[in-house]
Amino acid sequence: MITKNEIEKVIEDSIITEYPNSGQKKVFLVRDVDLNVKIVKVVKYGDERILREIEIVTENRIPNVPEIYDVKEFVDSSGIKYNYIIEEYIEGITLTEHLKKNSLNIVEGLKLLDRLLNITVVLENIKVVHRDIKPDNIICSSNGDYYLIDFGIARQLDKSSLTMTQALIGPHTPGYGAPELFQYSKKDIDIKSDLFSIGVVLFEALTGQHPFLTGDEWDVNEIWYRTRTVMPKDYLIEGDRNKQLISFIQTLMQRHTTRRPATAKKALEWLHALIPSLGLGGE
Amino acid sequence: MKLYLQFGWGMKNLVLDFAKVWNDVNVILSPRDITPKQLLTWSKEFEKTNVSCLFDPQCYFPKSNHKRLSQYTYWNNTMSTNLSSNENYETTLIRNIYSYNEIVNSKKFIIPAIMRMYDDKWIDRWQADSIKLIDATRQVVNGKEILLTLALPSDLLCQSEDIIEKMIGISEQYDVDGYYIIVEPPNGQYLVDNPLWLSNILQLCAGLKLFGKEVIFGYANQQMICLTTAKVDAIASGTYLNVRKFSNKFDEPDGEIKRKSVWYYYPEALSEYKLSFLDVAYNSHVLGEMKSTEYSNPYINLIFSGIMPSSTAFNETLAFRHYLDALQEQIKLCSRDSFKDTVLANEILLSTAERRIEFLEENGVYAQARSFKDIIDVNKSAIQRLQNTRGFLLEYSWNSI
Repeated sequence: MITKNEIEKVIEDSIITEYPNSGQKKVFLVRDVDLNVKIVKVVKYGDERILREIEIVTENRIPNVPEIYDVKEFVDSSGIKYNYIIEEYIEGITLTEHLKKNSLNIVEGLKLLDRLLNITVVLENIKVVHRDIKPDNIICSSNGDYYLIDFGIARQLDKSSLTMTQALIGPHTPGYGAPELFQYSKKDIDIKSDLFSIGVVLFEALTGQHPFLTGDEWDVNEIWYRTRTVMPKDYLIEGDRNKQLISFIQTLMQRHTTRRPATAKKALEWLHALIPSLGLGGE
Repeated sequence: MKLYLQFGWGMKNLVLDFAKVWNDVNVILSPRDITPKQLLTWSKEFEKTNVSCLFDPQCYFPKSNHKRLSQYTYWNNTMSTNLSSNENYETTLIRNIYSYNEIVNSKKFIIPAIMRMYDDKWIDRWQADSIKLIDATRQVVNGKEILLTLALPSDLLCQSEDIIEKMIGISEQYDVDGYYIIVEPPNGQYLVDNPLWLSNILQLCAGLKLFGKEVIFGYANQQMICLTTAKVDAIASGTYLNVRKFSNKFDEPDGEIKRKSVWYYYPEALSEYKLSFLDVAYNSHVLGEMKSTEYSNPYINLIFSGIMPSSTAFNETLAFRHYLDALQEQIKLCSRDSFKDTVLANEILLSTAERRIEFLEENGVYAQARSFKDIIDVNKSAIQRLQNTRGFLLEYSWNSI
C-alpha cells in the first residue's frame, strides 16, 4: 500500500495525523495551504463500494453527514492507481470514545436519536440503507452535535447488490446489524435495518450497556445468536417518564422487521410526538 | 371493535330482532346454513331492515359433501386439486361467488380459503393459493372492498412467533383491503387454554392492523374480546358453539346441534352457567349477584324473577340473545380511545372475572366446561406479550389504524 510520504506529496497538504487503518482505506487528517483542516481518504482506484459511497453523499443533501469536497485520482511509484477523497472534518470524538467516559443523558440521547432518524428519513427517500450505524461511525462534535460517517457498505436498494447473490451473510457489524442483515434476507433489507441499529446504539448510549451482548461472547455466532434471542432489559432512564423512550428504543430494535416502525418517517414523527410528553423542556 | 353476527342455524329471526334494537347490524352469511333460495329471500328481508350482509363462501373443506353448500354454483368437491393446478379455475370460482355477493348486496367481498393442515410447506401453499385468488378477484370484483380469508389451523398457531411474523410480512404485500380471519382451536376447545395460540392471534391481528388493513375475526366468543387491544375492526359470533368457535365438522347434519342444556352467560365472570347451577345460586342466595349491572338486558328478566331459574321459561332463544347483547356491550366497554386504556379495560374485565368466578365457586356455583377460570391467565399473557412487542406501535398509531 502507498506510504504516508507519497500521499503527502500527492495531496499537497500536510498530514496532521493518520487514523488507524479502516478496511481497505487509509484515512488522514490534513491541513491545507489555507490552514483548513480536512479528512483525506485514500482507496484503491475504482472500488465499487467507495464509488457508491461518494455517489450517495455527493448527490444528496444528507443532514449531519460530513460533506465530500472533492475526489481525485493518482498513480503511485509502483504504478498502482488510487482515488483520494477530500471530506469535511468534524472536530470531535467518536461515540465509542465518548461512551468510554460517560453515557449520554436523556437530552443528549434524544438529540442523537433525532439526528439519526433525520438522516434515515433522507436515506429512505433516496432508497439507501447505511447498514453500519454503530458508535464507531458516529462523531460527537465539539459543539455538541452528532454526525454519521462511513457509507462504505451502504446499499442502494434500486441498484444491483455488490454482494454475491449466494452470500449467506450480508455486510454489517455483528452486535449492531439487524438479524435480516446477518441472515441475509435481501428482500427484507430496507431502512428498518438501520432503525434496528439506531435502537441498539441508543440503548447502549443511554444505559452504558449493550442490549444483547455482555462482552464475553465466544465468537460471532454467539453474537448473532444473542442478537436474535436476547430480550433487552427494561431499563429505567432518568427523565424517561412512563418509560416511553425506552419503549420506543425497544421498538426500533425488535428482531422482526414487522414489529419495527414501518418507515423512518413514521419513527421520526413518533419521536417528535414523544418528546413533549417527557416534559423535559428545550430540545 | 364491533360485533358482527356469524350466521348459523336458526339465526334468521335473531338477526331481524337485533336489527330493531341495535343501531348497526352486520351479519356474515353462511351458505352452510342457508339454501341458495333462502339466501335470495332472506337477504331481501335483511336489506329492508338495514342489516349489512357479508357472504362467507365457506370453502374451508372443499372435499366435504355438505348438503346445502353443495347446492351453490361455486361448490365443487374437486376444488382442492383445482386450486393448485388450473389457472382459470380461480376466476370461475370468484365469478360464481361474486354472483352471491351481488344477491346479498355485500359491501365487502370475502375471498375464500382452504383450511389446510399445517406442515413445513404450509406458508408456500398459502402464498400460492392467495396470490392466485387475489389476482382472480381483482379481475372480477369491482366496487367492493376485498377481504382475504386467512384460515389458520391450530398447529400453525401453536408454532413460534417467527412464522406469524413471516405471514404478516407477506400479507403486507397483498393487494387487499383487509382480512377475514378464521382460526381452528386446538383440540376443538371452546375457550382455548394455550397462551401461545392466543398470543399468535393477537400478534397477527395487530400486525395486519398496523399495516392499515381491516381485520374481521370470525367464529369468535368472549375470549376474543381481547382483540380490542389489537384494534381489530370486528369479531363475529353467534348462537350455538359451532358459530362461536371454528369447527372442522362441516359435514354435520342439522340434528348435530345438541340441545342438552340452556346456558346463562354471566358477563362479569366471562363464563356461562347451566340453569341447574343457577338453581344452586338461588338456593345459596347469591343468584342476585349474577345479575349483570353493566350489561343488563330484558332477555334475562325471567331468571331474576324471584323463583327457581329452572322453573322459569328462560330458554335457549333468550340465552342466545342475552349472550350476544352482553358480548356487544362488553366489546364497546373495552374499545377505548388509546391502546393503554384498552389494555386497562381488558385487565379490569379479566380481574373482575377472576374474582366473580372465585366468589361463585365458594358458593358452589360452577361454570364447568364453560368457565373462564383457566383462561384468564391465557388472555393476560397474550395481552402482556402484545404490549412488549407492539405496545409502542399501537399506542402511537391507535388513532390512525
